[in-house]
Amino acid sequence: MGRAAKPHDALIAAIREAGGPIGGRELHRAIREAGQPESTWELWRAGLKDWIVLHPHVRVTGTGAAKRYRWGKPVSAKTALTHLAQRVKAPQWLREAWREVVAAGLKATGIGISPKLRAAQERQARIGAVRAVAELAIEVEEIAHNGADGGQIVKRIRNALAHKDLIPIGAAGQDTVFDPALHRIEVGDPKKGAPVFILRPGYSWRYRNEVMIIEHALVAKA
Amino acid sequence: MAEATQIIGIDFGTTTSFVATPEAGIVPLGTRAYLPSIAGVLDQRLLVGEAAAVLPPDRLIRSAKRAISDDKAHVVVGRGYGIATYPRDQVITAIFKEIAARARQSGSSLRTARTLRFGCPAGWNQDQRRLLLDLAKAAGVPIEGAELVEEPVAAAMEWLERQSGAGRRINGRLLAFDMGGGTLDVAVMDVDSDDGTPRIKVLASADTTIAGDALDEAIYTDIVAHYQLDLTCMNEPMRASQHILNLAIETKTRLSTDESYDIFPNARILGAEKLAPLRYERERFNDVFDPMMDVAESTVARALKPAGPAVGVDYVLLVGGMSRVPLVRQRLQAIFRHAEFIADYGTADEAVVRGLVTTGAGRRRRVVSRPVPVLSGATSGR
Repeated sequence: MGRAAKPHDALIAAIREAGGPIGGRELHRAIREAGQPESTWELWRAGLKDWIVLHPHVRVTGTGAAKRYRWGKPVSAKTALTHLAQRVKAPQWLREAWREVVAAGLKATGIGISPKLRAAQERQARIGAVRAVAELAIEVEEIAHNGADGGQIVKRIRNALAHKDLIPIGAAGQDTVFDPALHRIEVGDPKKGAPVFILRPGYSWRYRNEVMIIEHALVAKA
Repeated sequence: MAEATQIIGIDFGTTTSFVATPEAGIVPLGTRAYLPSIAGVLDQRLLVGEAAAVLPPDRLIRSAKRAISDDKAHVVVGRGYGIATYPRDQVITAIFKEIAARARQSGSSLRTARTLRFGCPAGWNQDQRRLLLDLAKAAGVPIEGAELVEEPVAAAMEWLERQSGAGRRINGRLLAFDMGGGTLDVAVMDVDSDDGTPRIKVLASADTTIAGDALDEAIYTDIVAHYQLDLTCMNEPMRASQHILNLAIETKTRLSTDESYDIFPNARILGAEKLAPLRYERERFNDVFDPMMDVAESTVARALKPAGPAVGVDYVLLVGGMSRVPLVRQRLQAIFRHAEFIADYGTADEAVVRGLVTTGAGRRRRVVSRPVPVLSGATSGR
């Protein structure tokens, strides 16, 4: 092993060139043999040994004195993210949110995913959405033919949409109070809380922890 | 990128098969996220997946995987109409070939993966595990260095890794309840995440073939009884029978989440002038499902026998499509009163394959094999 320019480079080189799992004592010996000063070992003991798990090539096994360090192929992006998330000093819910955002970002940018696979996933997602509409159309036509009335058809559609996490905002003809977050008015400018009735229901969509309005309900002054 | 194909997980399921990678998650298999694990015979040709699914029911081969569990060399063509059989190994090899071809089309060639990880039921013995790999090999899937991970372990790893990512360390006894279409697998495991890396030790497992398909049959019988149908008197009893079975399957699927479901049978197929819809309420559904849950409970009891009492179970992990049914949770909560219940219903079907590609699933030295003998289900024929 040649002498590395920086202490951490020397430690990493010792693990990489060990040819297999290496314990603390062997590591100490290896950096001494590489001509590194004792301060390099002190750097390891002072904290680098705890952080080394974040190195994408280093696998750590065992605990305490039985810990072993091994050089390997780089870990996946997902594993690296898990390791990082474990070390964020924040409440669990915050860590979870942080990890989700980064994971979504990685996925969106396609890091670690082949373009062909990404294209296949996008295609499958589009087909899935189209298939859901087609299945609903098929079902409605079938039950209408087999004697379902309007109410039964609406119920069936609402249940099918609920499976896709689409939640109705009101029902046609229902009396309610105006809420600009959920409703849009056909004519006029009612104040929040004014009595209205629903002309056409709307839909919101729940995606993980987020609820978004897909269509506002159309209302008219009561 | 080379990293994308380092590890690929393959969940050859009784009803559906999935492929996943750690980075991309689920790999589409054709126009769906999964390949239906179904085959069929047309003009002496073997078809698999969607091509088979459109064949008449008397030409279909379902649940080929179960033939490995049951140590049967042949599978029945046309369940319920069963007059012909087909060699099991040919069917499963054909399904594996299709999985490999579709994964390749989606940019995830099984041939270039550094490690392939296959799921298998916890109750399978060494011969059955070996057979799965041999059939994959016969399909041209390279199995050198392939790893087999018990399905409940994979499902548990998927959950544990998510918890670990959120900084939560899980320790204690975990019961995985994996109820799919063809089988119920129950496994009891000890989990230790003290050093931040989850380790799993499977203590015991038990299984049964009384699962989702049995519920389809029970609802079918209930529909026939409700409309007082005599299929033997019909011009086309097979067509009528399949129509009712389809209605039963749809009813089961919808009542997994909805409180009621209106069944609209086709009067013409059932030889009637007009048929009133049948409103299937949750209570009626539970009554029909109860006997299956009795069997499920006894399967749980068998798994617990060598592992210890129910009060010692800290976590209950619900996996598989049937775990969406509220009665499953209700009945199990009555047994495991103090346990935390874990169910991610949105991805219940995908939990195993997602777990196969977690970091922990590959730590073979950390995934300790079950030290007690396999406990096979009384109904599984083993």
